[in-house]
Amino acid sequence: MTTAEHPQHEDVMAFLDGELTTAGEADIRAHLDTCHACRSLAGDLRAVSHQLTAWRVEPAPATLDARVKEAMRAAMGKESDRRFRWRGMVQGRRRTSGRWALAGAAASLLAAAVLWSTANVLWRTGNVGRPLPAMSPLMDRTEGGVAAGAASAPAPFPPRSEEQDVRVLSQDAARRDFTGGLLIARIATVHLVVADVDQARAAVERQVGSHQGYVSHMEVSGERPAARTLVTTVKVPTDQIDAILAVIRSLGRVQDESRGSEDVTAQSVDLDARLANARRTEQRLVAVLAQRTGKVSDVLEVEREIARVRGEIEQMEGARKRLTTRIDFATIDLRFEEERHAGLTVSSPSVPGELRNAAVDGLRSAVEFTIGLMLMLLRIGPTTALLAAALAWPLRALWRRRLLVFPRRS
Amino acid sequence: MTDEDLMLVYRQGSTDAFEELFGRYRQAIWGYFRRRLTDRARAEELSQETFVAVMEGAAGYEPRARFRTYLYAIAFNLLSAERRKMRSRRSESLDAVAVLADRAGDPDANLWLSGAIAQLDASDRDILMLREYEQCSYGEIATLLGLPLNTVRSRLFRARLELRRLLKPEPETRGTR
Repeated sequence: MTTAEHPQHEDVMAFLDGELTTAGEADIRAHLDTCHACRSLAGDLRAVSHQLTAWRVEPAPATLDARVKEAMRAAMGKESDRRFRWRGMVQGRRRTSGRWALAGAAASLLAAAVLWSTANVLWRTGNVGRPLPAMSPLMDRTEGGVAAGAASAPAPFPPRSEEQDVRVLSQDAARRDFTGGLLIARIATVHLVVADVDQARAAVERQVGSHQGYVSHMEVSGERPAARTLVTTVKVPTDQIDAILAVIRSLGRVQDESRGSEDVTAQSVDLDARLANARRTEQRLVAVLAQRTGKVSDVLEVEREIARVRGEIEQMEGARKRLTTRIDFATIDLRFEEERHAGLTVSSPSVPGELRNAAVDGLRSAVEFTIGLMLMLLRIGPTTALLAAALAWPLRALWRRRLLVFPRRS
Repeated sequence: MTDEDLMLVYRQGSTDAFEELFGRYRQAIWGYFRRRLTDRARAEELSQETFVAVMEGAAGYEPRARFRTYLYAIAFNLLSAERRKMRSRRSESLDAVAVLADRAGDPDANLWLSGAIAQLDASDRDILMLREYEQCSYGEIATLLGLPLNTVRSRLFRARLELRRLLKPEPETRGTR
């Protein structure tokens, strides 16, 4: 290659970028030694690259490390759980990040809530004593108290959706999750037949109180001598759930028991991240407001934005507290049914009583009829009088005309 | 141990391997988003999402290409999605190069350079930045942007010539504002 035969300018650039083959590099290097124009071009290109190095970026924030490591721990927890539960099965697509994950989690939670409430409704409307067909797939159901109490053999794993990621674990597996740093919300339901609902209620309240729990909801239905039903939801410290369930089981005959857990680690991490971002945004806005010397409308705009972000922060803080409560306090739904005792007393009212009741009913009917009639007259009376007044003159005129055409025979 | 080896080890469940990978690329990925977005918080979020995506994709990772190409492809896709979102919202642009387009000549070196880069054609700018700041090879850029290799070469050359024009005179000799 001679000085007159300049290489393509892009080849000179590729030479500087180390993108040429060894032979190509040798050619360009030899040419640059002899060609001032190409050497000048190479110098310019080098200078541009050198100038660009002046655009420096501050070091990555420490919070990025914390967030990625937190996400890694969560991912590894999920992975180990997946291996434990789905060994040998086709591995589906993992959850996607960001907005889709949030939407999926929200939809899953909504679906779980709907299923859960449906199950409760079915339960409360009398479908007791049978397995609940609409029970949430989150629940690990065991028939009979003995099996539930033993809880040594892991139950078959129910289907699990990817984003929902709700765990159904045996006690041992649950403990592994606790030690693995995951955040678990635990739920349980127990259905018992007891001799006396009042005694069961008192025992539950006593147990919950002694374990620093509280009664979230309580409802008693039915009247003696019929069998009564007590439906209650109690919240107890998560680490006390096993002890309290053991006591509850001893109160009567367990008809049905379910245990479940929900992994809320991802929710918690995501909520914390969003909360931190919102707080940073608020700080930036406050700083902007402090330095703002522009128009009043601009200041007001920043203040409105601060108020909006503050509202979001408070909402998220509320959600954070609720989530913490769900983690710290397990939810136990209880249903106690009283054993039914067939009654032998037959109540038949006396004849004088029947006559008196009939007389009272007749008098009440007469009074009600009279009042109804008066009310009807009052309601339609004014309108009827008005119509009569309006029609009186034309009817009278018609009548007179008729008399003229067809005079009465005397 | 190469990046690809570390990914394969991470796939077997070693968190140490991922921490090593994260340590190697945390600043690079942070810089990738930080130079392209004005919103620092958003840059941090997208950096996090990039690494989370690597974790989630680890099960299906095959070392067919270099890990860094794979990593930048994820970052590039996230950035593209972010830009689409910003366009669809018609919100105030957080795209650093768009915001800085009118700041050429700013005495601050970062703003001066970013302002000059912002004046480049969008496609040329992407190629130039991948080459200069992410040190991607021509082949990697072609793969990331889905362009022929020769197109990458010609556009990169055009971008550098244009930048040479925009960056003159030197910062020290520029007039005060």
